[in-house]
Amino acid sequence: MDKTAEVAVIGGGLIGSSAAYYLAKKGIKVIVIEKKEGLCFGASGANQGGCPFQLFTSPLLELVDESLKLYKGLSEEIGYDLEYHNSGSLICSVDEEQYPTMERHYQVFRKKGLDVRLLKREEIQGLEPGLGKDVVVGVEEHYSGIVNPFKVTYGFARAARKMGTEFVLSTEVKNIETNKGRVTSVVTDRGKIGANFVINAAGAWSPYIGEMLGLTIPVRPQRGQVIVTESVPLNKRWRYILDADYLTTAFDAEKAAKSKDPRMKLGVAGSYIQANSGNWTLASSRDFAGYNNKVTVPTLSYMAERAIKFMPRFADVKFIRAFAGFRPFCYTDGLPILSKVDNPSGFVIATGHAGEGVTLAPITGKIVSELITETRTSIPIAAFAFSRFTGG
Amino acid sequence: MREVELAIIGGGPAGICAAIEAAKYGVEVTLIEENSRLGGQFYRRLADGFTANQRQLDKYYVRGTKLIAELEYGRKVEVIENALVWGIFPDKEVAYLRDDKTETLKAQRLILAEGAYDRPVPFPGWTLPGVLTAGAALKMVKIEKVLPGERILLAGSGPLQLLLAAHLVRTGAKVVAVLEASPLDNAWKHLPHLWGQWELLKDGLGYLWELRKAKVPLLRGHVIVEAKGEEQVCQAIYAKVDRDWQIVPGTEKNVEVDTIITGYGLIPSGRLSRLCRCPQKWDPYLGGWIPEHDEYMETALPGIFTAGDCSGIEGAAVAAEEGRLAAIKICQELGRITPEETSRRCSPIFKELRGLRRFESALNSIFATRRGLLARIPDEVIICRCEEVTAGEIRNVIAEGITSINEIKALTRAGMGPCQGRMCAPIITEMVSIETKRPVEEVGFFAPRPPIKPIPLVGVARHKSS
Repeated sequence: MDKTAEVAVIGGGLIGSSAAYYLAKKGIKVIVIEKKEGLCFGASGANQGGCPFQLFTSPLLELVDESLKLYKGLSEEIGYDLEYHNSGSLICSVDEEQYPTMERHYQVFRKKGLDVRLLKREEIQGLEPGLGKDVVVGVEEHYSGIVNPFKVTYGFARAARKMGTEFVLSTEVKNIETNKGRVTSVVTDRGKIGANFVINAAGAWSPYIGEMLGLTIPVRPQRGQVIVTESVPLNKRWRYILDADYLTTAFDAEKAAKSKDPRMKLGVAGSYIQANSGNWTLASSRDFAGYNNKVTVPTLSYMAERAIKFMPRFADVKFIRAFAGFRPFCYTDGLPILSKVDNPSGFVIATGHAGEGVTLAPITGKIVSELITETRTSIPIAAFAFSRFTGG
Repeated sequence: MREVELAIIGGGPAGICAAIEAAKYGVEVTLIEENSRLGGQFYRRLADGFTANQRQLDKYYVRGTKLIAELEYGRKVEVIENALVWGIFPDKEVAYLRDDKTETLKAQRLILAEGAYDRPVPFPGWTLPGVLTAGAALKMVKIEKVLPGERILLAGSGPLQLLLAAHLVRTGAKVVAVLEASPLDNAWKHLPHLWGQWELLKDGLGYLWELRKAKVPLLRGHVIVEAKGEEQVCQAIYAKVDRDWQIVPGTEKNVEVDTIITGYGLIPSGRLSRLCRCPQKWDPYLGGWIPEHDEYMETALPGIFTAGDCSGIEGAAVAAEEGRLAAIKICQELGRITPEETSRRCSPIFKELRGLRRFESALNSIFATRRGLLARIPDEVIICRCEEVTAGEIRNVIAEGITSINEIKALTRAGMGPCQGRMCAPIITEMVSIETKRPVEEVGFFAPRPPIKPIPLVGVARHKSS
């Protein structure tokens, strides 16, 4: 099956499909290589489809902001319904002691001139009667969105395919060949693919691809478990509800791991999203279990218990499915890696998105395409450079 | 967490017999059953509040009663009823829901005796009230003592629908016809294999005789084509089929009915074995996907056994023997008996099984569903009833080049509803295989996800690690 392309993308998830789309749009011949028999089989298909806004600080916030802007017009641009919904979000707390934290959180965004509101227990109850009395304080914003992650991956892939991108499935990358400091081809179990550029969009498996070139990519799989409920009537105001503890479990893994609370130790904090279909996904958990993608009873149990605390009527809602996926987590600083490398040239890394792969997929694809075709990217990405690990 | 030597999941013939056998050698057995009573589909107990004198109950009911009594009073088996095993986790950790809370236990050995369920066969109108499956109908007539309708058409294949028809006739329903999809033209070839199984043969002939007496027509080589009606079925269209069960155009006929019962055989329930990631194999004659297993019913995962219809549709008698085999092998593995003792005890069982399986395999050769049945499902027919996904929507995705069954699930939502694809997965698998001209083995199955049946969230939130 020997083939050639200008760019070979390794990984048929959200990031790989997005990169293929933005490259194809520039008229570039791309081949996407995926080891599974279909697209979206890894973390891309094992998440909630949430694109949160108010969780981030600079430099991630700017990246998220750009990506959310891209999402707004994307369904129309690619001619495929991504089920994007500008849901906004409510981040809230069931712990009186977190009141000052929430207030600080609110001030941070307010000072940026963003449209946020600090809400107290009674206001929250009034706006969304389904939320429990334990919810004491919250911050609401209108920037977050939700999408169907399968539709995003397939939408990108479909649009890229129409522009000439080829997807080779059930094909595993075995090696990457170089010549005079430049990548030349990707060796797979089904033949060789010649390419001037190779993009590592292999998510939690990206370190293995790095190793093929002697590069240490500081990413490891962080397991995230998700519960899906039956379909219930849509919430009136908030279909995206976040637990204030999520700020710790998602962005301060060390603090969570040291916690005395067994729930926090398992990285369990609420993130609840109601899809257009009416089904809720109840998450989240973050732990390191290697490449074991099985769900576990204690984590599911803590997640369910926590969800009922925020929304008591969940108690009688049916739990119909649970799954786990691997968030590619950069253990050095938790930030994504969007970067070329010095040696070999032509190798581009797009990984380390942790729990933000869905949120960041559009902007990542766009940046990758710019890294290959432009001398500079449309937004600054120095914070995400691979050289931050190598000191270069 | 509580540890037991042997956990058996499913209290039908296989589970009951396995429990009795293992307990004989002092193995600590925990038998977990989803329903309020042991028995499974075959030895199902009467509903609470019902009594019947011995004459009204068939001999299988009586046999079931005896076995359950032996289990309950004779041996030390812990029976946990009303407990839904919703997941099995690494190291044979079994999670079950009882009294609205989840309990877990760890088992050194596991026997999965999950049973089977009615094969869904879609046709226009199959989602109308008044269309039901043979298993559901049998439960209504035998156990709940309710008639599913007054003018009933049976459509399907195999002896189960004869038994059902006989029960319906006895209870006073009008059975307008029994449609047997198999043309039965080659059936005589299999006659020698039926030799020796007098009891089962006598049962079958008995049902036929009853139907004949009641003047119920048995139409060979016919299938249901469409159910018509607004709120309720009022008419059925049926037609002749060829040897591959493809409808012969122009042979359609109408009949007024208020109920259509489909009985196209059973599908092995393999959700727990798939959740454990036991390697599976495709065997259309045994009903579909079954866990690979050795002659002692041990799956490819050490310590996990399978028994009964979930390891291939072969009926209650085979199920019971398979349960015994698995139990004896486990007794050996746990050091209760020597390998010689195992061989000695198993050899009569193997002999018995050979005869039973010859019979079952002959039946399966005659009656197993042929692919023509699913080849021409019209586009507007709903395949996934939970998410209301039609055959046309599934074909559209396939036409876009998406042929892996898990991608089809992701993009159409077929199989994402509360039943987790229990109903639509077998149909979609065949559809993909037909449309893409690939063998079913390559198409595979939906990635298994716990819980295997929906449970209230509070049931997971309350977790007692007993």
